[in-house]
Amino acid sequence: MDEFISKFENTIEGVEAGSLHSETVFRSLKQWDSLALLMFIDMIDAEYDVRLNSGQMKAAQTLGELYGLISGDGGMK
Amino acid sequence: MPKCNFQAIEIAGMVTCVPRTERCIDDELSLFGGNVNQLGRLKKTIGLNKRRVVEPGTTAADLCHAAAETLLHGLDLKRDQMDAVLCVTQTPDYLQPCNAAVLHGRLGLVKDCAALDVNLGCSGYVYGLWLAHTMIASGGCQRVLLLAGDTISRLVHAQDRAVAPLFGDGGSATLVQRADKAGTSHFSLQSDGRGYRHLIVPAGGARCPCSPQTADAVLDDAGNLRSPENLFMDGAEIFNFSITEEPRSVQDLLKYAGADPDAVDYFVFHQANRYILKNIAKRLRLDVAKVPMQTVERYGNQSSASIPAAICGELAPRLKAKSGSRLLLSGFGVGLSWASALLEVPRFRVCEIIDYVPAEDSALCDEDHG
Repeated sequence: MDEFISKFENTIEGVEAGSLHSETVFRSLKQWDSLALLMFIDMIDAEYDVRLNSGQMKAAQTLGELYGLISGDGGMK
Repeated sequence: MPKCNFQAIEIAGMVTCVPRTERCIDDELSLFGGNVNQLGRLKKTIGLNKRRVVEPGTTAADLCHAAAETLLHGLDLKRDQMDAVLCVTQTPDYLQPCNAAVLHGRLGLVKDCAALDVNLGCSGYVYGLWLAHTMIASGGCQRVLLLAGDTISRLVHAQDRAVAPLFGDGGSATLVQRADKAGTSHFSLQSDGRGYRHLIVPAGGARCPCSPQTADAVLDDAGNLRSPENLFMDGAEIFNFSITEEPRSVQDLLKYAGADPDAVDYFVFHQANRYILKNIAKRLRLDVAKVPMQTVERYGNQSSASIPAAICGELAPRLKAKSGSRLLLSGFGVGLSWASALLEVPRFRVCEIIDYVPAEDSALCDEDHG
């Protein structure tokens, strides 16, 4: 989980390392926009070989929930 | 469908026509709520910048017509030498007849000439090339005039940030002909109709005809405005699709053709946006110098005309200087649909981008119904 959050922080421009946690509502971050979404999709595909569809992305609120999708059975591996 | 290959058929030349009106994202700061930082990131990362858009009254058929006139003149071809005209477009002049029939008439082609449209977008240029090759290989045609163009700028809502700053307009003309000395051309064609909703204009067809209701624009979750008559794009789904299917499709075609990526001179992808192209190039470990990707920032995403625009706009000096360049072309998008081709092209006599000069008598609508 910590590794995922660290990768998320590195991916999204303008987010400080160590500033986020599993309860962070990522879509409320001021840096979260359509471009951040593309960069996130690219990151999870490259790092975790996982693709999340729009519905899954829209349903997730926190970084912890996103990590659940990526590490569990939620993603389309 | 299975992959296929053709012998003794070549592309003889191509012309792409763009409107003169240029829009620039710098002038649209209000669309991004005055967020200079966000606009800067979109320019730098996605490659959004300028785009060429038609004025009301100019259509994809007009752009393709101008491109075709320049091409036929440049290649010294007579109107009776065309055996077929194909038009790839999703923004035709009319629901019927098809653009190819209308352009057959406007170009003054002879009656012994097939004319038909292909209703595809970003993958359409490669599909059109494949169809032209098929028609020539079957023995029925010596020369096929392939016209591919769209005016997607007319379909986007000006206040939909996901698409408005991205799409431009363009029309192209390509001549495909029998040529005994030509090498082998390889093609692959694929589809995934399960994703048809990810890039769609929902209203205006038979499923959902235009009505006063379909003209109403509604604000979506992301704060973008659009009506069912406008183009909708689910950016995340299209991005997922592009970075998943495109690298695989290109690798499969190279394997089928027994070609090493190093032996390909240029990889010309549908000019979706620079971020997608960089991503595909990275995944395929391609030398970015072999991957044209400046067309979107100059002209916008031109749908079916983007591959010829990238060839004419970024590669013309090299393709006009030497013979035997190996091009891998690959289009992907609406459908979902994607297609790739590996071709060897002769030295092009004609390969250029021209500006559209509107005819003085261009009409908004035909008022005289027969």
